[in-house]
Amino acid sequence: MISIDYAGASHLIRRMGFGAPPEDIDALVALGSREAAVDYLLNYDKIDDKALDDLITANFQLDEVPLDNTKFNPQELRRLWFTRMILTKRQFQEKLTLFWHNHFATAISKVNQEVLMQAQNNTLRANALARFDDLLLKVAEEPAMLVYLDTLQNVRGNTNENFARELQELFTMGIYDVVTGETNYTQTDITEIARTFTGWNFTRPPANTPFNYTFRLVAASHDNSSKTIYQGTPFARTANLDGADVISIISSRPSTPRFLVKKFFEFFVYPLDFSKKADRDTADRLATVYLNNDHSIKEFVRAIFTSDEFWSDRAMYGLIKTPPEFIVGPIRMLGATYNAGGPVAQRDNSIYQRSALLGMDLFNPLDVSGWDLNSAWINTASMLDRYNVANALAITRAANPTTQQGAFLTTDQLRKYTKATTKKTVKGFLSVLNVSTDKPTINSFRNYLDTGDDGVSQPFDPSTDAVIDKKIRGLVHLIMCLPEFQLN
Amino acid sequence: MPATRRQFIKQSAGAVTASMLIPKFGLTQAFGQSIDPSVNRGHKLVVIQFAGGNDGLSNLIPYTDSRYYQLRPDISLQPSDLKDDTGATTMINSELGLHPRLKEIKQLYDAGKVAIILGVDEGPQMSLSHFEGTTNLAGAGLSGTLPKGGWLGRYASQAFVGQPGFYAAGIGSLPQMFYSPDSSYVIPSISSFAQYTLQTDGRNTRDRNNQITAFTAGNGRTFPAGSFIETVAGTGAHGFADSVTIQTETAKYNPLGYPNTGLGNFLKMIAQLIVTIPTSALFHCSIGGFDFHQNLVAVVNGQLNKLVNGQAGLLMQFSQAVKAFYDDLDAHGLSQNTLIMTYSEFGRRVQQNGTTGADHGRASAWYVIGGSVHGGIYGQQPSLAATALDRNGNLVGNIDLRSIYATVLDKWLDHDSKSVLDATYPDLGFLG
Repeated sequence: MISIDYAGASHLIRRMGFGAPPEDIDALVALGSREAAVDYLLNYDKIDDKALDDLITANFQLDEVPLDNTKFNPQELRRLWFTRMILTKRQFQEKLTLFWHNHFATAISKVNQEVLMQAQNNTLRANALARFDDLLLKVAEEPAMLVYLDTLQNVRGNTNENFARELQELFTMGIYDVVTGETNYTQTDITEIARTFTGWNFTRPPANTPFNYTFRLVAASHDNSSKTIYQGTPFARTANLDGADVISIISSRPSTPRFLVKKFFEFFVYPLDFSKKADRDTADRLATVYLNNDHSIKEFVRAIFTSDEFWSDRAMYGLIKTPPEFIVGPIRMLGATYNAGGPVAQRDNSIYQRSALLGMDLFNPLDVSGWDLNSAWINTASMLDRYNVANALAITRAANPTTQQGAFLTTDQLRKYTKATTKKTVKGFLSVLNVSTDKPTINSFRNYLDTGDDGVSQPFDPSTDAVIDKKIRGLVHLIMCLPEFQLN
Repeated sequence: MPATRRQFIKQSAGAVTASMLIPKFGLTQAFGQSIDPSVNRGHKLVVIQFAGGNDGLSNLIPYTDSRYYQLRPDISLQPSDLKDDTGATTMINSELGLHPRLKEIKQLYDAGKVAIILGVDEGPQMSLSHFEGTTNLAGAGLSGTLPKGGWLGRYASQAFVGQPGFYAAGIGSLPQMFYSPDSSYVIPSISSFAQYTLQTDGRNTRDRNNQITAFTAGNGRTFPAGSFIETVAGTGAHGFADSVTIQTETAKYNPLGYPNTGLGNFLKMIAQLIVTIPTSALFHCSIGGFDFHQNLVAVVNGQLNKLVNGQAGLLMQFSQAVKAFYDDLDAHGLSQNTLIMTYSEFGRRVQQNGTTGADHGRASAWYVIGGSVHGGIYGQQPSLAATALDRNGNLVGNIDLRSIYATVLDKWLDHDSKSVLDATYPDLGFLG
């Protein structure tokens, strides 16, 4: 057991979640060790989240049939997920669901039915820590994936290779083993595997459970003859294989957990460099955890978050925040109010739109490879957008905090971390927003607080609401514009 | 070896001489100089991505080839289909016709402004993955990875680095071929001019300059080379500077006459930048949806319709948007200075599949369009004969896409192609 300090607990909750206010970070420190803190966040099913469930029941119309598009639509799909991300006490469950959405990417632009996207999202959330094979099979059987990668058109005698290809290239192994560089499969394997998924289809749910689609095999469309895959490799098989067999075979190939290490690290730890032996060893070691634990994602991620790599200096601020991390993080850290709005009028659509602006329109990636991470978020335009999204949170006020929808900061929330001196005030807000920066930058912020309109020197006086409303909002904006704040 | 643009800028930093005002090798006096935007500028390159794998056989129809009709009974176009909505033929020679929805492209072709490059192929080693295909042609290394960024990102980092002006943008999104090799020059993506500014608290406008002072201090620091934080800080500072220029300049010109389509709006934005900002040089935008595993020929009102939706709909969008863009630039005397090139990650399987579509294939056709292009056909239409197809039934082309890049670099951007592509490729002859 290795003890955990405040900076470590902040790092952990920013990675396994989106970030937290000081009192929640103190509570993680009080658990006493890294292992205990990881265990707490990992066993999220033991965390009571009834308040969120009740809020969703009150603010959305998911159980009211018929579920027409005034009750559920592409906007509601996104409002619901951001409401979860901002308010859940089970932070790791939402973060992992986000990871799986990026991994098993589907897009409403093609799937075209928000109900199918939500059904898949529910599946990802419910099975986020299952055995990998089990999760993958459920994903493959989900209507969203059957539509998105054309499996519905994949029938005996007229195969469509789309799913068979991405199953191997993006969902499991990659074209080349990330450690050995060996080619994992051929075009022949794609063609053969496409035949194993012929006839896959789904049945629509009864009206009173609008998200409960079920899988259905159309026997007449399924190819029941023998298929040969991975010929000439240790994984060769010739039999009347079906898709579930193939998923099981691929999930057992060592290339799969190695590829998953790559994907988990670039999202949760730091980007691995497979030209370096140390990083190849990391992938090998963690892949072994997967193979030795019956493909349990839960034990696999426990090993990642308790690894030396995760707690290394290289990992600390070693990623660039994704748009949801950039948006949800400061709301949580600052204790800002978020009202989801709804269930009918005044639904809040501002938060998910910010994420789309920053390049991550949830449920709508550009393609099945999901979103590129880290440096890919950064260009001169997206940086401006980040500064402007930061400004939107910092300057949004509420005439009536109990009824106004969206995310906003009240004067009371800002006053909580405002101290009598510029030094303590700047230090306080940097700490709350998990930023460590240099002395010149701290001084520029102190000067900012000590400057009145149009550059006139005017000593900071936090005793009035007007000063807090102007200068503390400005300070929050400026901290969120720092290069350090873009890092996670 | 011709001078690189960067070298030229260094050389021309002093007095502007009369000889420099004469357009030569695509270079002009405009870079770094404040000049009347109506006069001569440098060469511009506008790259249009056909995302998803554009079916070459639906762009250039081999209307005399019986194999084409044999392998594509439902998704082929008959000779009688090869005319536009005015009845004008879209055939371009005794073997090939343009898709009837490429009406405006055909008009530009007839005027000698379109080079069509047939049989562009990434070779047999490519896995026909969208991502590997896109990455291959973005990096031009054909290795499936981007170890040194994209080819135009490399060009930009050599040509524009250290220059204060605005040169390049991905419109709508940033393509891999614009990725920087080393973060020395990161090309932005711009989706909306209105959003392209640093916003501050509207209730405290007299605090704005105070915020800008602190913002500039925070983002003007130096950080370890190659780190994420260096990328973030440098890019942010550059973005802020560009935003000031773009806000001021693009407001001066609002073009009319563009189709209200995704591509139409992107090209309209590019025209605003080209017309108002003399340093504008390099742009990319994308039209998606070419991955027609199904409905390459769409069903409309219960019947297959070769002219509506599907491939036809996308080609029509492309054709109309490019024509509006070309005419707009021509009206500003800039059509001779602007080159449009299209690309797609691969073509499609010759044999149709069971859903009136075609799966991923190999060779396809690319377009190069502009007032200075030597119009015509380059390369050869790949044979559809069974013996000529590869073992997966795909067209085999004989044009290496890097020879297109090399021609554009050497003959349009006046930039040593070997410095970008690491090797020498043949000049295809459509420029210079």
